[in-house]
Amino acid sequence: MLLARMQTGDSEAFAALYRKYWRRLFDAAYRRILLREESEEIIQEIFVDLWAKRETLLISVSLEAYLFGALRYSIYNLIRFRKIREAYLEHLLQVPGDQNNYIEDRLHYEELARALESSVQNLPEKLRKVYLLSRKEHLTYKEIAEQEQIPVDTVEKQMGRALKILRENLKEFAWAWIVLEMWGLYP
Amino acid sequence: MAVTAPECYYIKSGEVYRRMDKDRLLYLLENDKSGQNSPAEAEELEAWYRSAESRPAFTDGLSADGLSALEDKLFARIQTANAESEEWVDVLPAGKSGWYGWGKIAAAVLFLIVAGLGLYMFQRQNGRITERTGFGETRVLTLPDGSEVTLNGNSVLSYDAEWSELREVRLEGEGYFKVVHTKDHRKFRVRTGADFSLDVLGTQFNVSKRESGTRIVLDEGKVRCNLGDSESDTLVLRPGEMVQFRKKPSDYQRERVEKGLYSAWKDHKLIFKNTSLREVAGILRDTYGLETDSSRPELLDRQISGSVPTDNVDLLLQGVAEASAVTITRDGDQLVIAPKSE
Repeated sequence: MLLARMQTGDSEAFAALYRKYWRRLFDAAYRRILLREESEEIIQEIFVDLWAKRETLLISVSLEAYLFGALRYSIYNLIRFRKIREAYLEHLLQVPGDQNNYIEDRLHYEELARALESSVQNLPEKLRKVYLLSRKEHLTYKEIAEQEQIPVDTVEKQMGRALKILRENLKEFAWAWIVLEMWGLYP
Repeated sequence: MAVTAPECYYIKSGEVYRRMDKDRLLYLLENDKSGQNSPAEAEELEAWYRSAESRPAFTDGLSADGLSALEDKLFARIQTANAESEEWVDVLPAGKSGWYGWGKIAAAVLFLIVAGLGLYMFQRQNGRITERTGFGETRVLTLPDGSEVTLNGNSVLSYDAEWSELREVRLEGEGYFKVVHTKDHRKFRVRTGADFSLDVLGTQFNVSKRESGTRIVLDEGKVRCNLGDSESDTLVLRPGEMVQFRKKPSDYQRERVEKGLYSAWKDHKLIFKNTSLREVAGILRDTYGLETDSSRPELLDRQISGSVPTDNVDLLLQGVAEASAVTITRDGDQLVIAPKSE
């Protein structure tokens, strides 16, 4: 039972739950707000909140119902607190078939994938191996440890270092993206 | 025709409800929060929420690489936030564990501060380091912990030569900070007055203290503002939020702003978006030491949008003049704004 394991502080169970639900949650958020960054922010907060409350959380129906309930709450708040500009909100409500945002936002992730790919290639050998086993093969840290004949906490440390390096690289990418968006606004 | 926008209508018990508009939606959401929606209204909101299901799934249009890039990026952010919220639980006094999601390691905050000079005095004792920039000068400084500060023109930064547990700097003027995260998670604090400071853990941010008020803009990450002496009087900023106040930090206003707008000076440009000439004049005074005068004060209400270079003051002035259709004449430190002569 992943939920019960997560509630006792098992971070692998948490990661598995993330993998299980993130995509449907993201799609559900994006359909309603058509904004990439806000959708990301909402999904991030839902999972961060889930982890933070893991010990005290009482799930009465199902985790799925809980997560989608939290999603709805976040979307409502986003709109209520005017975090979406009113002009945009009008557009959101009145142009049901608009696909422009989809195209632009998908392009962002394709670009990101390319940046990520080259960052992964540049990781130190050991870190790259662990990263790929975890992210591409979806092996657990324990499975990686067994396969590579290294202690589990070494795997954890290496993953942490790999993620840190990637984050640093992707951070610059994200910033470059913001700058590009700005120049689009101010020709 | 109504059929072309099915999610904007819904029919119940033979009645056609009106198209959802933003005011209606905001009304329903307010009621939802306070639990005051009638059953029909609750159903209307529910119908709106459900109607979006007819839109395509965003991730279906991603390549396998794009999909895993999104999955990994999100998870990396979640992991970072989880790790940092746990650090905060350690750092903060017991009973204050609400600081979840100190998101990214890097943040970019812009912080424009104006409170009268003399709100506090820089200490000039032994062991205190003080750095200053002249009008129009920008300079990059490295702090003892390796953090980096870009000081904008007419600014002063000071700090103890030897930091204790807390890394604290004082700022008068404007600066962009890249704070390194220490292994022992020492807090980094920027103080701009006795009643206002800002705490970060490994972020990048931009701070400025000027005459007309205090302004903080967070482009990325999360930062905590301490509004007074009391531990509880704090405010957490989220990306894209701006907080400003004139004199008393507790009289702050919070709003959403365009990301990057307020930190462009660091890249040697200024970006304006419906910015009044009055505000531009404030920047010219604070950063470049140029006083503005006009026989026609209403000209200062004109708004401009666009971007101007800052490395050459004359080009900057020319750009501002063109964008606002006025003439700006410069005589030393004095600027005169006049209607554009035909």
